[in-house]
Amino acid sequence: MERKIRKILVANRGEIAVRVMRTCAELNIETVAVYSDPDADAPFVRMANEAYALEGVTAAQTYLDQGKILDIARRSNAGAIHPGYGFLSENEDFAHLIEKKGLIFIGPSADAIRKLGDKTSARKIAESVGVPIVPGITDPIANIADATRVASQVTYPILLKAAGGGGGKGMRIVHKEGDLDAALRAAKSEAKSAFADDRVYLEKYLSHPRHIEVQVLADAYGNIIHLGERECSIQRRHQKVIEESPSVVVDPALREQITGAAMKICRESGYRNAGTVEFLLDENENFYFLEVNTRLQVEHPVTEMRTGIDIVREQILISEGDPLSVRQESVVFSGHSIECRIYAEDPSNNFFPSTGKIVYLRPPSGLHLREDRGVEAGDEVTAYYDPMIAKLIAWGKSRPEAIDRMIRALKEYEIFGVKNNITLCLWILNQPNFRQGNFDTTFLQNEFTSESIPPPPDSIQVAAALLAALHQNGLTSESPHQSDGDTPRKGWILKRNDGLR
Amino acid sequence: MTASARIADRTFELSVTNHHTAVVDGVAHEIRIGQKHGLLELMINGQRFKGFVTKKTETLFEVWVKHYCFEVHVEDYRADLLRRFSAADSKSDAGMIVCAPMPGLVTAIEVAVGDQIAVGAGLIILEAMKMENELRATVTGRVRSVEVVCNATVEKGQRLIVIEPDT
Repeated sequence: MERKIRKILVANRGEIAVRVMRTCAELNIETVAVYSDPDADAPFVRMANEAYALEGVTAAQTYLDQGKILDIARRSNAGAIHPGYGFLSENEDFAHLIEKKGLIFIGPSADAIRKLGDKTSARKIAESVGVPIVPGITDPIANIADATRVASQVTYPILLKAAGGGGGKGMRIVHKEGDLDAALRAAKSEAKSAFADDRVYLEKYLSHPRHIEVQVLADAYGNIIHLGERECSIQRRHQKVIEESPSVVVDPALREQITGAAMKICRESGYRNAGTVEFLLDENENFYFLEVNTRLQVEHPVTEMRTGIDIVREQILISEGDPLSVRQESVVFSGHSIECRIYAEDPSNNFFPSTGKIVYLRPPSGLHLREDRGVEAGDEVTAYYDPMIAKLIAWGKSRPEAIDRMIRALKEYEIFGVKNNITLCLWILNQPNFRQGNFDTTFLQNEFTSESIPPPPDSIQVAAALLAALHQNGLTSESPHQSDGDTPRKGWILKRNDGLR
Repeated sequence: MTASARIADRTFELSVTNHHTAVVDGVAHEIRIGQKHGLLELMINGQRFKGFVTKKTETLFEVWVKHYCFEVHVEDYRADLLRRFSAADSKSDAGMIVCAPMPGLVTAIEVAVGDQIAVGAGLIILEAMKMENELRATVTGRVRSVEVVCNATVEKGQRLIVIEPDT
């Protein structure tokens, strides 16, 4: 069959660029990578059919530079651009520019991004179709006086959020009026550097919500389906750490309502392509519309593992003008899937980002397991971009089975050289409250401290002590030298050393 | 080889007596050591540990085993003795040095030289990985020096601020 899209430029980096390119390869579509200086040798660059330098280091100089990316699209003759997540994925100007050049933006129309990606106008749309929203302001905050007034109306605590993007960037909880000014300035500056858009809005902060989101697919012919919900309540500083599907608290009746609400919002805004509608669920199972992510999400594999549907493939086919390849009634939801995001940050030291060279990396494998990763051993984790090393997704017939499989996989995972949060993920998965489904978005904040992670077993500490001492004494370097007539087994050689006594 | 290795507040007395025996805190273990893929592999009584060791100083090593990264202070008895002799006159003028815990961009400096500060006071905002991280004081004292300027890019470990702790 003659494809409409023959070559796709992936305007992103890391694991998501790799993930998109894999589907392209399966569809026999050529791929173009664009990369910053620090990413010149990254796996996604090597995986692409062609790769072009963006020449620069920071996100603003590279993955956010629309002109450079469009220029490379022209030079490489790419017919379409996949934005991945983050960076320009929810930038309506970028989508508009691509449309204007006669290229295909693999995502919703610039118009839909404007209506829904802008969180304030999305709230208005939700309201107009009768979907409940969190109390707050629907327009960006003009100044501190404006913020102070609205904050006292909805009552503290309140939440400041970036209008231009998600992922916890530009977000601040404010508990009292005295902290509002500083928080507003910090949120604006963070939003500006992350999304090139410093507009911030304000809503009531719900104290114990669960985060439930609905994956939606919509084609150009008015067909809209949902691929069920994901629960992403395990968050740290508003950054998701563990996601799963289905949610333990969503029963069939609630699912019917919440997926229906998601599809209503998409229909009302003329949405096309893959999107995610996020909701907060309070203790009494009332749900409130939060925002729409008008792009592929980090956690989309959770849904793919449960439904067998390749969401990136659907995105591409929708962009080519095909109708949806699946009907709602033929979507099969099977078992339970769970994802852990492996971040380069140290949970026992206040989650400080850890940078440096990954000296060794051995991912787990085995039945019903998927690992999406954009770095390899030898690569540097830099301070310039997101600290995510990999995503690990496990499937099981039931939730306990999926959790146990994930625990096994995390134990198998070895990463040396950069501190990471595997011990945190293991701690969460072993918590009785997590296993019983008894948690909300405050779980980590309230239950986890730097001391929560159990100390390493004695045997591991002894091994570390011995390795350091042997290293100091030069007893660890490999040498064929044999000394005492013993025949050491291959690979197990202790070098003779004068200091030995 | 006889040495003591300290991890946090635990000290292990080690002695490797021959090519396959190590005595740890008086208990003998059968060991084997080798290398594979650039990693060390240490076998202790049939349990295998992969590890990666980086030398930080003559006596400080960073050791990665399983999901853990340890800072191990190793001292043989001779070095230990030397240290005790020289320790007496070296700790006079130290101050509390605040170093950058990661590379990043200084987006705000919240104190000035001479400021009196309490534990938890914000010192510097360091932007890295698209997040603003506030470095806070861990001691009460007076700011003796500020060694960076706003909008400077700093390397991991770079000195930022020195605090004179109250005694």
